[in-house]
Amino acid sequence: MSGGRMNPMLLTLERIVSFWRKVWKGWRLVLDWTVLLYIVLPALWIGGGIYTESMRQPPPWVDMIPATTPILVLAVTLLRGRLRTFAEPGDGLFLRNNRSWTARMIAVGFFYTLAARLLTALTVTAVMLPLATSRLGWTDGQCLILAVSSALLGFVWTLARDRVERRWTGWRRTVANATARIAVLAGWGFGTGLLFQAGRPLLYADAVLVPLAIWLAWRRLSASGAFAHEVDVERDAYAACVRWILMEAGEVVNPPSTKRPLLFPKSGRLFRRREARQRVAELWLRATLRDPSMVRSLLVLTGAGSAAVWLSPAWLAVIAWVGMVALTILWLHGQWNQWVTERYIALFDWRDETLHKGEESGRMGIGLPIAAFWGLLVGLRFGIQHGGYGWLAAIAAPAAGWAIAWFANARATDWYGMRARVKAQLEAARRTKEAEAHEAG
Amino acid sequence: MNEQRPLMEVEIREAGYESGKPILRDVAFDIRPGERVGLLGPNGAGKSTIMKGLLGQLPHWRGTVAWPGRGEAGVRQREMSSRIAYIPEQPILYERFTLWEHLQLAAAVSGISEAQLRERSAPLLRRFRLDRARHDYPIRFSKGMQQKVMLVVAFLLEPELFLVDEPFIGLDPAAVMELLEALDEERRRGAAVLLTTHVLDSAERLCDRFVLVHAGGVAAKGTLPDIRAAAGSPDGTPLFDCFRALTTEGTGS
Repeated sequence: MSGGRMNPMLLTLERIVSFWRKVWKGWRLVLDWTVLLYIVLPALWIGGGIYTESMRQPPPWVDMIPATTPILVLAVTLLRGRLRTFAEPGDGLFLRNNRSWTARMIAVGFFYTLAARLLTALTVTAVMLPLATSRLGWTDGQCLILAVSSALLGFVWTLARDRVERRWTGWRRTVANATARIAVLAGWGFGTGLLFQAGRPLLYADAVLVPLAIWLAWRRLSASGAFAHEVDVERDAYAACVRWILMEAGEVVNPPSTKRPLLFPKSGRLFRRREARQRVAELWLRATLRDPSMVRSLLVLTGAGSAAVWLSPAWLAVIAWVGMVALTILWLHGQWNQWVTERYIALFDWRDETLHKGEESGRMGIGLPIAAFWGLLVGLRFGIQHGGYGWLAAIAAPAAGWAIAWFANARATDWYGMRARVKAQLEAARRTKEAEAHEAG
Repeated sequence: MNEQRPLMEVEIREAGYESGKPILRDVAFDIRPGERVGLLGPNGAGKSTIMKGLLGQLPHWRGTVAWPGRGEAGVRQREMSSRIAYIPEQPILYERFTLWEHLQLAAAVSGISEAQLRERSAPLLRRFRLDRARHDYPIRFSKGMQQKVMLVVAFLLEPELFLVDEPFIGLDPAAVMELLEALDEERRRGAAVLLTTHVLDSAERLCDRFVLVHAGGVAAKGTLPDIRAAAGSPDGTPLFDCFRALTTEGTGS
């Protein structure tokens, strides 16, 4: 950075370029020529073909789409953004003491945010253009006004969201954010609907949005104590841009957003027995169920298993049921193994008994209810198909699911325990051999 | 000087992170029950490597650790770690556990019953003023409070030896005093303390003996007079000056 020529605008522009360069470098890691040739280009070709075909010969349901749909699609897309200022943690050292620089850098951030909203709105509108012009009868000018108005709405939203997020933390922030989003969407849908009914152009909405944007921007420029929030927003923005390519890395863990856990806030008991294995399993279960990504995975697993059991032919459903139980146990074993390598968990000297039996109890806590639920689905199918006494299967099959999972879980513990013992023996032998070789050398 | 049988005798012939590239060579020292031993040395001298070795975290370790008080000549690293509580310089916490759950895990894994956990933890949480935060996530605490969580976990286990890495960093003066008082109580129980620090004037006041590590070996060890003798310094020389004399390039080993 050449100190003499640098000014707030240049500094922010430099940061914008640097941000996108960093994101591109991340993506370049996975977008080599093979990925481009075998995945990206075919996907674009096929996707483009389906799109043009559907525009040329639209499916019949297109006629049933309400006129406000493109407006709401645009609004939903544009309500995802946040106000960008490109603040960096190092700014806290001295730059933030200079209010003039800070204000001008934030002002550049406003323009960037508005430009990004406009670009997004124009892109989405361009994609919907054939539908809007040919099916809904809009003119190109109306579509352009829609894109500009939606971009303005998106900009106002980023400023409002910024205010909400600076004001509240934890679950209050989540609730306030969701409420504000729903209110803005409902208000936008209702307001534009009224304008359409009255045959007025969307420019009437702009007459409200422009002064609102100016007022919010003015308030934002004079806001104090926003630096930490700005740094958080920038960190999240980068994470959002590269999250997809790093999702397999599994290294970065977001700390909980609340001071206290929402689930099991008082660390209550889950098992009646209080031996070490149950106590450890209980801790693992709580940690697992507090992790949103784990809950999502569990729901996906349960959903996929349910579909397999419900939609397959009867004989295949039973095989799928047993197979899914085994898969669940295998998956839970992987999750447990990952958990015990967490730095805090690995601090302690785990006895083999506690480790393996704790895992068994933990797997039981999650795996058995899922297996019983799949059993219930199998039983219900049997009842629907055969009626009468067939409905008894709705009681027997969950019990059978419970028993199958319990048996498979116990055998898995034996197997994993034996494997760990063999591994430990081989490791001990290797160390002895190494020490002997060292002594001899 | 404490003339009891040592609690632990350490003799490291060679240790490090890679085979054939030892970081420590011929390091030997002992710790007696109730004693506070300062493990001192410049950055990169090998203090943390010694700590990791004692915790069984070094991939390459050739040496012995004896617990004469128990009549054990050589103890497997794994057994050793159950007798030691480690208080790291940077708090190690799990983001999905509350403070109470951190204690629950430490207790469950270390064979401490729930009744014992409640009995031992109550005074510790009061002492470190954490009793109102037991159901909060420590990952959201300040650095000082997080360090106190690590202290509570360590004291809860009532180990035979405390390994304390830089105990004066991150704690406010009141918390340092509470830590020292708690360590004193543990000493009366017979537990020993091995601490590393760069705050040499505090180490001089707190420790009974010192092990001065330099370039992967022991440059000097013993009481303060022993260290002064090794450094060729007269009586009354502060530890800081002895440290400088012994760790200046060329004189250390």
